[in-house]
Amino acid sequence: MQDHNPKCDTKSNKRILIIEDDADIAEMITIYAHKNHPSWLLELINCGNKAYLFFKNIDDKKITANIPDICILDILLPVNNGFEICKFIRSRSIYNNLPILMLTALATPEYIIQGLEAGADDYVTKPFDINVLSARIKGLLKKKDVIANIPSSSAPVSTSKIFDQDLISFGGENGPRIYPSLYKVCKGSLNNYEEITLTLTEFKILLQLVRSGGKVLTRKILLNTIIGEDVHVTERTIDTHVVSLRKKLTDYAQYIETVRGVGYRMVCPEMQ
Amino acid sequence: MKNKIKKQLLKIFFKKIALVQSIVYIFLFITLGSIASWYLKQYILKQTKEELTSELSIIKYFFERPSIASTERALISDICSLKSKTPHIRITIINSKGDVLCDSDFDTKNMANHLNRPEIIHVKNKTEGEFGYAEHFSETLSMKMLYGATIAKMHNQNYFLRIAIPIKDIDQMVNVYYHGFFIFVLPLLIFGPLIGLMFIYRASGPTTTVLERLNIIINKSFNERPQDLTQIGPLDNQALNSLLNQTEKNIEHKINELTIENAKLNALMQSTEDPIVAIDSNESIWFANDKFRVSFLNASTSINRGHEKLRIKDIFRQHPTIKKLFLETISSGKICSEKNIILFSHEDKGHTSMHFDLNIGPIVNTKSDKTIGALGVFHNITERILSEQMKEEFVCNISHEVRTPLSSIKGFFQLFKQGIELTPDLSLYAKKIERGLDRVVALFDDLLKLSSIEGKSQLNLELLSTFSVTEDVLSLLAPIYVDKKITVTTHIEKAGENVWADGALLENLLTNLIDNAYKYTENSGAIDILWRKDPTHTILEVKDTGVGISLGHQDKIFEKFYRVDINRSRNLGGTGLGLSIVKQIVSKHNALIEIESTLGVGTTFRIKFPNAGEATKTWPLTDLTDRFNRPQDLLR
Repeated sequence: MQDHNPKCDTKSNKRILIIEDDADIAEMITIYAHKNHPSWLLELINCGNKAYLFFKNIDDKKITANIPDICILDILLPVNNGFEICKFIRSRSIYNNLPILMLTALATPEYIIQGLEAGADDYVTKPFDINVLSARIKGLLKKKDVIANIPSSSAPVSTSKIFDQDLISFGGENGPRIYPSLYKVCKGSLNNYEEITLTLTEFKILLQLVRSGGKVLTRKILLNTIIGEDVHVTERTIDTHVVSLRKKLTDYAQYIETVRGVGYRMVCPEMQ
Repeated sequence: MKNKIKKQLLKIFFKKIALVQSIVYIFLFITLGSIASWYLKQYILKQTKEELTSELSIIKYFFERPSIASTERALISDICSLKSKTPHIRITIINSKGDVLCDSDFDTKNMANHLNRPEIIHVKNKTEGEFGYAEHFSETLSMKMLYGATIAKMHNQNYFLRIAIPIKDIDQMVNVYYHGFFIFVLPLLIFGPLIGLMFIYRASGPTTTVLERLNIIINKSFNERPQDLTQIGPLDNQALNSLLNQTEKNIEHKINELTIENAKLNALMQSTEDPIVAIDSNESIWFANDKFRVSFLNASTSINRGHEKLRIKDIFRQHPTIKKLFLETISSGKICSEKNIILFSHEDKGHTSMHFDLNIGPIVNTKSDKTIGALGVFHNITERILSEQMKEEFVCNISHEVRTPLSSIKGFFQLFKQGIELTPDLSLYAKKIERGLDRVVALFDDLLKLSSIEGKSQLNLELLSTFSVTEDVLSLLAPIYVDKKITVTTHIEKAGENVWADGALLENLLTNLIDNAYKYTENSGAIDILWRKDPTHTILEVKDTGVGISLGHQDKIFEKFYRVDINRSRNLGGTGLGLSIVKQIVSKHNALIEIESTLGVGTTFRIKFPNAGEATKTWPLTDLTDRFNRPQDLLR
């Protein structure tokens, strides 16, 4: 187990709900978690319908204490598939802070996009490396904790270090710092900084990626958020802006990762 | 037979017309004759009266000049004796008391007082002027007479001078006229209708012929055309026959041509499996083939609803886009199309959801060059869609069924490794197992990819930035390819900045080409990626300084699992499907692929993507065009 940074394993236990119809995979994850993450309390559901009833019951009775800390969701499930369950969860405000990680054998970009657009926070395709799965779970748990600790009055949600109420940064101390209210991005130390001149669209893309805290954003999501749903441009338009953005970020361009056939996400150590 | 009867009936009809004409003619003749004879009699009466007046004036002249006669009595006698000169005239002289003094035809002794005679009363009262006339029966002569009277003076005594003429004399005169009239007119009366009848009959011959010919033209029954045209009507002349004959032949020829053309078109329309409909500029349906009727119309719906025709919007109420596209085609005169429209079809006695690609072309009046309607072909793609869906489901299921146990194998093997202390040998074996697993996954990924691309019927073509696609692919490959130091250079010419392609497939293609170049290029080698453009294509070149491919292998490298060097390929981790995937992607884009390779020098893969528009030429009427090129099918 390569769990070098168990910061996410907070003092309290984490309830992890695994919705998976394959008993072997569920067992394998359980054994791994038992050995490497004793604080993880795993709950298993092996049917889509049961999962639906589970979430419906909590929502009906408003028993927030029963909401798991994270949900690992397979897609091809008996009765109700993972997309349906994901959409149901996202349609209920009680689950606003519940991270969903899709664990899917449907590895083509089309399905991944479908999953992300249904509301999943992340995805891992089968066959998977158990350590990668573990890292993704921890990343999502950490993100959830960060969001939970931000005072409700804070406008931007950031998984990065927050220097002041508005400021969002990534890539270390001298990395780019984003000032949302000023539409400005600077890099370098606070005493010796350099402004990165971005267009408004590039600025919005960067802000959206950073705010998503490592979540994969499909081109469609990025386009709708940044340009608007009514504007009819092809999704690939976003690529040109990302290329230009990467050029301007120079050394920090590597933090914007392309997810082939799907979209982009922000990767940086602070987010993991 | 039917026509013969018709012909007979037509002749009878014309004979009847002639008969009726004759009757009317006779009736008119008699009526006009009667009126004319009455007027003639009146005219003769008038003339007679004038004659009487003239005679009276002469008698009066003599009467009022007594010097001529010796005595009054002698004068009266002389005047009455004038009768001998004009025997048909009766002369009477009456005194003022009404006593007849003399009468040319009768003894005055037995004659009654004449003061109450109408003509005398007229003269006395001067109702008719100086002279008085009357027609009445003479008891003395026992006949009807016309009397004329006037007053004459002699020795201050008034006398009535009266002359009369028998009516029978006048009638005789009238009869003379009548006889003369009838002698001349009767033959005309008899022969006139006959000549008229003959003329009508003769004249009706060509009219009948013309009508018969028109009937033939209207009913298009050219096979019933009589061979001996001269027998139809006696007055048919050669010119008329020739003209009609030529006109018929021309019309028959044109109708035959049109019938064949119509049959061809109809066969084409009906033989196609696609519903076809044509509308005019008022959106009314001009034509619909059987497939269209079966697919989109209820059994009770008719295209012609009296004067009002069925309109396209009445059929596709739920799909206003269809009407919009038709109208757009009519207004712009350009082809419009819409992909994958889901419509409910009435086929199979139910509402079945079906998928169609709709292509609408303008119908142009070649004379005025105006768009007068539009023809829409609903290309049924339901089977293809269902097949794609089934294939997708199959791939999806296979994916799930294989990937899930692979996940267990991989996961449990990782747990297994964690649980024991690996000796160097076991560690080597473990690596081999993991590499094998990765190869299975990679192979499986490539197989799915290939299958998915092969089954793709429609590309999501976009104008892509070649730079961003290349950069994206390189950014993904860079972290993976770290074991060799290979320089990758990208050249993008100004004209080659954009390409019409499916983004995901282009990334895939570029990844496979770069991956292939990387694998077969030695350390310190170079890979050049070039984007440029010529008038018809956007060209991608991936050039490496690798081992090269011999000419004998170049044709086969795109075959599935074909490897130039099997051992080398396996060691490099290839699945043998990379270039097959490239070929499929190239084919789906209607692009071309070329290889230039020299052993030991390197290989260049050149992909030529069609420029804007050419890649999107998907007018499905190609199917119909193919059928157009097989006339033997149409004429069956």
